[in-house]
Formats: sequence, structure tokens, C-alpha cells
Amino acid sequence: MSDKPRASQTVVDDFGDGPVLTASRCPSCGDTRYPPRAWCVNDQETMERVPVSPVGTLYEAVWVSRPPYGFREPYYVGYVDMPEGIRVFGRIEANGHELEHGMQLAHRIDVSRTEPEDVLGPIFAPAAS
Amino acid sequence: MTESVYVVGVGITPFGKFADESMKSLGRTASRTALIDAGISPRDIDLVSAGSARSGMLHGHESGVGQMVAWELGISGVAVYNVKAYCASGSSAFNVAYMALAGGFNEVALVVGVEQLSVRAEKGRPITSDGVEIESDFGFTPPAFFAAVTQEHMREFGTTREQLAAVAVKNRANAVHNPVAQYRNAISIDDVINSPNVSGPLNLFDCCPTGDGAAALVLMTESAVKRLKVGDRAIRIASSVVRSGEYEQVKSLTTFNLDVLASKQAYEKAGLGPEDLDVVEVHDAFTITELIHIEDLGLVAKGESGPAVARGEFSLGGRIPVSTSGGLLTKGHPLGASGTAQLVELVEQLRGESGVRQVDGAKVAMAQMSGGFMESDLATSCITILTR
Repeated sequence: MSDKPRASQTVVDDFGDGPVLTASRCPSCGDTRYPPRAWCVNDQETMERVPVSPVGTLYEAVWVSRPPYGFREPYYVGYVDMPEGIRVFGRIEANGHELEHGMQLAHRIDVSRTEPEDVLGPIFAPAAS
Repeated sequence: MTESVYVVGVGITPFGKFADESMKSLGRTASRTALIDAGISPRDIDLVSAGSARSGMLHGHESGVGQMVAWELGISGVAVYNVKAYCASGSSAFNVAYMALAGGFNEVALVVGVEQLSVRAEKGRPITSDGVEIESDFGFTPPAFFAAVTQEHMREFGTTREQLAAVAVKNRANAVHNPVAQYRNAISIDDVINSPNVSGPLNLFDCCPTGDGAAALVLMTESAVKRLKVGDRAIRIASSVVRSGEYEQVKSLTTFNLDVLASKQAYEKAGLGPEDLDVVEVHDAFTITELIHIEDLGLVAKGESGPAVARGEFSLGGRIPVSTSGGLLTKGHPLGASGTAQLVELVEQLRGESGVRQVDGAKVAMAQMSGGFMESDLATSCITILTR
């Protein structure tokens, strides 16, 4: 077990202000993809890594009653559609709210799973209105 | 110009959890049964194609499952291919053998799908899938994914909890008459609705169990069928298509475009359409996946699968019986074996050898098996059409 949580190497970057969720964008055609790709599927340009917008729209959220290995307690997960046209999967903290299709959710980077080691990932929660 | 290719032998082991078996014993048993069923000697085989998905991490057979089974049977000096494609490993192995025979490179092939999952350390918890390392760190499980799919299907089309349960009830009713199925007691709509929750709207009886098992087929070219005189019960492969996912970022999860496109290809190659199908096996890993797959294959209009299943259109005696074997929901899902098990069921149906489960006069059958997850889509789809 390491002291520092492992950041998911493929979707979490630090652009200088701490870890943030990262997508890739083609500098030529602007196509944005998540998880990030090395090359653009349209024109094979090298993609640049960009931070994902802070707030998205919930597509579907579900309760996981039987957690898999790596998770001790039941939790919510879901798919959130971001303004740049990407869909992000992650855990959701409902904070007492009903999680409904179309609601706005904000994300932060935090510990997503604890076994066999801590791993950082996006955690969504209802956005402050 | 391609050769016509036929299935001339099938074999299957019971599906379940068998601590005393191994991939080796399961694989050789199903294969030997298929050879005996075909009425040929192991020495007649000139190609072996093996499908298994997770044998590497569990059994020290990251590669070489096909060679191992061939050795057990006394088959040597032949072409051997090992195919890994998630849940569609066995179906993909079938496609490889089909291509080799259709292309005239080989004449007599053994296809075997085999898996033993009961030895995994984390048994009792949802099994993960290969290829979802990132999402798995963030809480992804296949049931959670399909729970989200279910909610979307309910929201978009009004599909109900009872209609989902009708899929599980139907497939159990079929399994009552299938001696190789893992769970063979009949269940009711209430049993499904009252079974323990797994994720979102999906309960335990909406989800396929894991398991161990193997299923094998012997394939032959038309000239080999004549040479070896095994044509009495030969079933023709009208088409076999493998296709990867259509990766889009923001899409409806209520359809899997790869299945729509792969089945369209398969129908065109066979010169047939959904209206010609007599019996179908789909990848019913979850109740919702059977509903979506039968829509994507064109058996029913988009969004109308729930009421149609509840009306009995896909039950034995219905318009197009689906999952007559009991499906993955009752046989369990020994990943690499599930695809070949579907094909064994359909060959027996087309031969008229399915007993109580027989679809009267079945002449055209389709198998659909998808696998893996990739960018909000499935990673691969295999469609097979068989004709008598």
C-alpha cells in the first residue's frame, strides 16, 4: 500500500492546480474524446490533453447493491454527459437528492476505490444551483 | 467463391460449478461428444479453433487452450487457433473455423468453447470484464452498466419491471427441459421481482450466474461431408459475421449499433431476413439484454420487446422462440463456452432433436453473442445464421 493514492494514469492529469479529470481534443478538428486517445479518429492528428468541464448532465445513475472487489459499501454510479460532447462514468454522491435523468452534476477528483490501494477518480455530486 | 460449410457434430457438458473438473476435462469431454456425434475420428480433424476468455488469469493457460484440448483427444499436426473476445470468444472461434473452411484452406474443423470460472478468488461478487480497467476503478460492474441501460429503456419506452421479469421466467421455463442447464426450477414473476437487488432495477434473477462448462462443434466443407459420408444431419452455416463496436461518445444506450449492423450483414449474406427466423439464441446475460438484442436483430420493433415478451411471442410455441436452451440466465455464463453452447442448441433444434424444447419444423436459426465494453458500446458482436 503506497502513501499517496494512485491517480488513474489515463484520465487524471495535473495541469498545475491539482489533479483534474482529463479528456483529449484534436487541435485540428476539435473532436473531443473520453477516455483520452493518442490520435484523432477523424484525421489522425496527435490529440492534446484538456481538462473536462466542471458540470455535466446526468444520463443515468444506478445504485450498486452488491459492490465488486475493491469496494466495501454500496454506492451510486452513473453516466454524465459533459458540454464538450463526451460521456463520463463515475461514482456519484447523492447527498440526499433524488438522482434524476437530466439533472446537473459537478465533479471533483477524489478517492474512488480503496482496495487493493486507493485510486483517484471523478466523483460527481448534485451541482449547487 | 466460398465453399459451403456445415455443422456435422455437436457436444456439450453440463453447465454449473464443478470443483472436480478442469478446463482440460471439460474441453475434452465436449469435444469427444462432438466427434462421436459426427461419427468421425480425431484423426479426421485438420483444424482446431478454441474460444476462452479468462482462462489465462485463472488456469495458467493465457494461450494454448486449443493445443491442450487437441492433445487430450489425440489430435496432432494440425492448425490450431486460440481466440479471445470477451463473452464472444467461442462464437469468434467458430467464425475463424468457418472462414478457414469456407476459404478452402481446411476441410474438417473442431471448434471448442470452454471456461471454468468457479475457481476465481472473488466468487460471489459480480464478475468484472476485460477492457474496463479505468471504469472498474470508478465502480463499474456489468450489472451496473446494464442497470443504467434498463432505466433508459424504461424511461424511453415504458418497459416495466414485470416485462423484464417475463424474460427470466420464460428462460427458466425452457431450462426445466434442458438437462445441461445450471438452474432448472421454474420461477414466477414475483420470484424475480422479490429476488435480492444487484443494481438499479436489476435483481439477482435478472442477472446470469457464472459457471463452468464447454461446448464443441465439428464443421466440414461440402466435399468433406461427401467424402466422410456424414451428411444425414448436416446443418448449413448460412452466414457468420464478426464486427467490433461503433464508438460514439454520447448515444442512447437502448440500442447496440454493432448488433444492428452485424445482423444486417448476416441477413444479407444469407439472403434471409428476421421474418425467416424460426428459433433464436441471444446474449441474455441480463433480462434487459435479451430485450435489446431481439430489437436490434429486428425480431420486434424498437421499444416493443417488453410487451411482446410478456405476450409470449418469444416463448416456446410463440412467434419466434428465443433462448430455447434456457439461455445464459439459466445455463450460467462460462464466457468462452456460452457462444458455442448457443450454436449446439440451434443445431439440435434444426435437426429436430430438442425433445420437449423442440420448435416444430425449425428451418432457420440465428445466434447473437456480443462481448466486452468500449466507450459506451459493446466491443464485439458475432452473428451466426444456420439453416437446415
